[in-house]
Amino acid sequence: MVVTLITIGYFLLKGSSDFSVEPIKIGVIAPMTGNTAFLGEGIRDAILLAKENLNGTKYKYEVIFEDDQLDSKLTASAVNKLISVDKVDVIITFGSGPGNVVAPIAEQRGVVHFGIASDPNVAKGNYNFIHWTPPSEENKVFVAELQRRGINKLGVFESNQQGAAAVIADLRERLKGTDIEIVTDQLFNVGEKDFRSIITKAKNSGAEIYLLMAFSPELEVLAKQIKEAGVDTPLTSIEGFELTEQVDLFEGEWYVNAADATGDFISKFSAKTGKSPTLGVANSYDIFNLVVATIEKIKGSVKPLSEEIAQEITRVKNFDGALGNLSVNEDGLVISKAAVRMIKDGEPATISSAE
Amino acid sequence: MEYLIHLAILFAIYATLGLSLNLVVGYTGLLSVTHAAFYGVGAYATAILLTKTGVGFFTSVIFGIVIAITISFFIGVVLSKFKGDYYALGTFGFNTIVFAVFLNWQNLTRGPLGIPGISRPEFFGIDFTNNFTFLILSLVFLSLLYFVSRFIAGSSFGRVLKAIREDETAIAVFGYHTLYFKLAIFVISAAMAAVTGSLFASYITFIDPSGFRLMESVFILAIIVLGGLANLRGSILGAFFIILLPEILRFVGFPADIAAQMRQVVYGMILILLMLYRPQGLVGEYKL
Amino acid sequence: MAIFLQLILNSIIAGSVYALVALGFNFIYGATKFFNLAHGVVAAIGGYAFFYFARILGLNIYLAVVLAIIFAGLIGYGLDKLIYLPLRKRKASNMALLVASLGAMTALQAIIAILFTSQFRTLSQNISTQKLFEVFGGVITQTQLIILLVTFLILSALALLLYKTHFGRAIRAISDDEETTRIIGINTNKIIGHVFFIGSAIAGLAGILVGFDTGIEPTMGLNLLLKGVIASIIGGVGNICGGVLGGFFLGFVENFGIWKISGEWKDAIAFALLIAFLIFRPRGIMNK
Repeated sequence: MVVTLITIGYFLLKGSSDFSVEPIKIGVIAPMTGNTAFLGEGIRDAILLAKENLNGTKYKYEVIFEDDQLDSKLTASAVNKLISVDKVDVIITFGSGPGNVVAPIAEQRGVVHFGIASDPNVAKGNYNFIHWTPPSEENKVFVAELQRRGINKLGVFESNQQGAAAVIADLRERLKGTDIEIVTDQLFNVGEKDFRSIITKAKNSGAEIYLLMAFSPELEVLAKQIKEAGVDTPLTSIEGFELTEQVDLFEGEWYVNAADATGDFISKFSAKTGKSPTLGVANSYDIFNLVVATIEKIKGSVKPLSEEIAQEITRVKNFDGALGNLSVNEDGLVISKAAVRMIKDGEPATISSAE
Repeated sequence: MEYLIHLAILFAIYATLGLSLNLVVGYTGLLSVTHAAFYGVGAYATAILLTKTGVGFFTSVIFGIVIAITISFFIGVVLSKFKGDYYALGTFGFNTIVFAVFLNWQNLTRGPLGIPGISRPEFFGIDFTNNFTFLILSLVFLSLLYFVSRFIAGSSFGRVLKAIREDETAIAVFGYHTLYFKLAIFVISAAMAAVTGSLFASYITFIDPSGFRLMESVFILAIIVLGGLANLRGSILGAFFIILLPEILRFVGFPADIAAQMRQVVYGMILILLMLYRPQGLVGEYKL
Repeated sequence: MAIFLQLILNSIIAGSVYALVALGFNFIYGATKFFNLAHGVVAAIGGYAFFYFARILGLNIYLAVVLAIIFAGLIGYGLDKLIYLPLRKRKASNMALLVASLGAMTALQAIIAILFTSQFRTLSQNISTQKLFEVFGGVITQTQLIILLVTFLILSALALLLYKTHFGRAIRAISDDEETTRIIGINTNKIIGHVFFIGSAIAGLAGILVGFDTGIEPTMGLNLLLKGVIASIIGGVGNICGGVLGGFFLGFVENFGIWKISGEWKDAIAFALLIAFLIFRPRGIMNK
C-alpha cells in the first residue's frame, strides 16, 4: 500500500512538465457536492462564463475546480493538491470557513488567495484578499434608509451562518445610540424548511419591518410562509432578494445590495445557465476578471511571480466589476459600495446609491 | 510532496479515530455513532484555549480530555440502558445535541463563524508549522494510541469487553458489572478522540462546527467497518483506504461539471460493493 | 390565544409530514429490522420523478404523481433485490447493511444532482397564490391540508392491508419472526420485496408533497428520514399507528419547544425527545 502511494506520488509530481508558454493556473475551491452544491455550481458557472469572455490576453488561463463540501479537512486537501500538484498561481475560495483554512497556507507558501468571505481574518497577510461587500458598508446604507423612512422597530430573521451572523453583529453595534430597536431576532439553522412557529413568535413583537437575513433556499420558503401566515409586514433584506429565482415574492420591497452594474451580469449569467445567480456568484466573476486584468498589466512576457501578482493586486483602483466600481484597500479587502434597491415589475431597480 | 504529507497527516488522524471507535464498536459491540462529538470537544478545547489564553498545546489537550471524559461519562450512563439499534439512535441524538451546542453556544465557540488562528504546538523549539514535523508528531500520537489500544484489547479487561459483545447476560451472571466495563471503554475511547481533535485543530488552524456533525461519525464508523471490526490493523487500513480513495478520484478525468458528483457516485458504489463481497471488512475477523 | 391555536396548527402541519415519512419507514422496518439510510433518498427520488414527468415531459399532474410514486417504489424494490437481499442471504450484520445503505444514499443523491443540478426547486407552479384556509383563526394552505388527508388515508389503507389481507398477515408474521415464517413455507424474500415497493412508494409520495409545500433538493432525504425515525421510535417502532402518532407528537414538541427556546435548537430538541423516550419508554407510545 505504501509502495502504491509513493508510486502515485512520483507520477503526479513528474507530471508537472514545462510548457513553452506556461499558462496561469487558477484553482477554485467550492462545495460541488453535498447540501451546498448549488452554491458551488453557481460559482463554477460564473467563473467559466468569465473565462469564455476572455479574449486577446497575453497569457493562457487555466481553471481547476476542487470540491470541499465546505468541510475544513476537504478544503485543506484541496488546497494542498492545488498548490503542490497543480502548482496554481491563484486560489479562489468560497466561505469564511474555507477562507480561514486556506489563508495561512497561502501566506506560508506564497500563493495569491482571494476569498469570498465575510470574515476579515481571511485577508490577513500579503497574499490574501477578500471580495465581499463588507457588512459595515451594507449596514451604513441600511440604517440610513431605515432612518429616512422613520422606522424604529426592526424584526430580524437570521440564518445561523457566517455571512448573516457577521452582518447582524455589525448591525447591532451600529444601532447603538440610534432610536432604532431590534424587537425580535429569530435564529434558524441552514437547511430549515419550517419557519411557521418562529413567524408566529415574531408576529407578537410589533416590528414595523422584517429583515430577512437569509439566502436561498431558506429565503424563499421563509418569505412564502410569512405570506401564508397572513402577515403583511413589509420585508427587506441585505443581499438576499436578487439571488433568487422567485423575485416576485419580493415585488415592491426595498432592500440593500452591493452595487450598481449587476443587471448586465445577471442577464448574461441567466442566458448561459438558465438560472439566476446564487450567493457569491458575482463576486467570483469579478475576482476572476480582476485577477486576469491585474496579471495582464504586469510588465514582461514571462509568467509573473506570485509575489508580483499580490503586489499588483493591492494597487487595483476603480476596476469595473459586476458588483460596481472596485478598489482594493490596504487590508486586502475589495471594497464595493452598497445601494438601496427595489423590485419593480420583477426587476431590481436602484432607488438610491451611496456616494 | 506537501500534498502527500497532508494526506498522511489526515490518515494518521483518522486512523487514530478509527482505533478509538473500534474499541467501543468492534470489541465491545456497542454501535456508537457519536464519536465526532468527542473529537469536536477536543478540537474546540484546543481552539478556544490556544486562541484566547496563553495556555500551551499539551495543556489544552489535557483540558480536552477532562471535558470529554465528563461528557462521555454522562452520555455513557444514559446510553447504557439502550440495546442494539436503539443504542445507535441514542448516539445519533447525542451527536446532534453536542453539534447544536457547538453551533449555538456562540459566546464560547463563535458558532458558525468558527475559530481561526489556532497555532501549532510549540515545545523543545521544534518548528511544527512545518508540515513534515507535524506529520511526525501525528504518527507519534498514532503509535502511542495504537499501543494503548493493543494493550487494552489484549488484556483481561479486553477479554471481558469481547465477552460482553458476545453475550452480555452470560458474563453478568459470572459477577462482572458489565455497566462499569462499558462505561470505562466508552470514556477511554472518548478521551482518545478528544486528543485527536486537539491535533486536528492545531493542524488546520481553523475550527468550525461543520466538521463534527452526525455524518462525520458515520464516516468514522465506515472506516472501521471497511477495515474490519475488532481488528486494530484493520482500522488503520480502513482509514488509509477512505482518505485515499476520494483523493485518487480527484485525478480521474471526469468532465468538469459533473466530476465531483461522479466521485460521490463511485465512492457510494464502492461502499456497497465492499459490503456485498466482503462484509467483514478488509481484514476483519468478526461480524456483529 | 390566537398564537396558541396557530402553534397547534403549526404542530399538526409539521407533524403530518413526519407521520407520512414514518409510515413508509415503519412499514419497511417492521419486516426488515434494519436502519435503512437510503429511505430518505427514495423520497427525494419521488419528488424529482414527479418534476421530470410533470414539468419536463409536461404530463398531466395526476398521471405524473402516479408514475412518480411507482418509480420511487421500483427504486426501493431494486435496492432490496440488488443490495439488501444478497446481504441478508449472507447473514450480514446490521452494520454492514447500514454502511451499504449509506453507500446507496451517497450514490443516488449524487446521481440526482448530476441529472437535475443541486438547485432548490419548488414543485408548485404559483408561489404567491396558494389556496389558504382559515381554521380557528390560524391559517393552513391547500398543500398542507392534502398532506394531512393523505397521511390518514394511507394509514387506513395500510391498516386494512395488514389486518384484512393474506399478504398483510404474512408481513406481520415476518415482523414477529422471519425465520419461523420462512420455515412454514412463506416466501419471505418475495414479500419483503413487495414491502419495500410499497414503503418506498409512500416515501416517494411524501417527497412529492414536501416538494409542493416547500421544495426539492437532492439532499432533502436525510433530514426527512431522521425525523421520520424519531417519530417511529416515539410512537412505537414497527407499529404504523405509532408512527403517525409519533409524528404529531414530535411536531408538537418541536414547535412548542422553540416557542420557549429559540429556533436554532430545533434539531437538538427533536433528538432530546428521542433520547427521553429511549430512556423512559423505548417501546414507544403504542407498544406495550
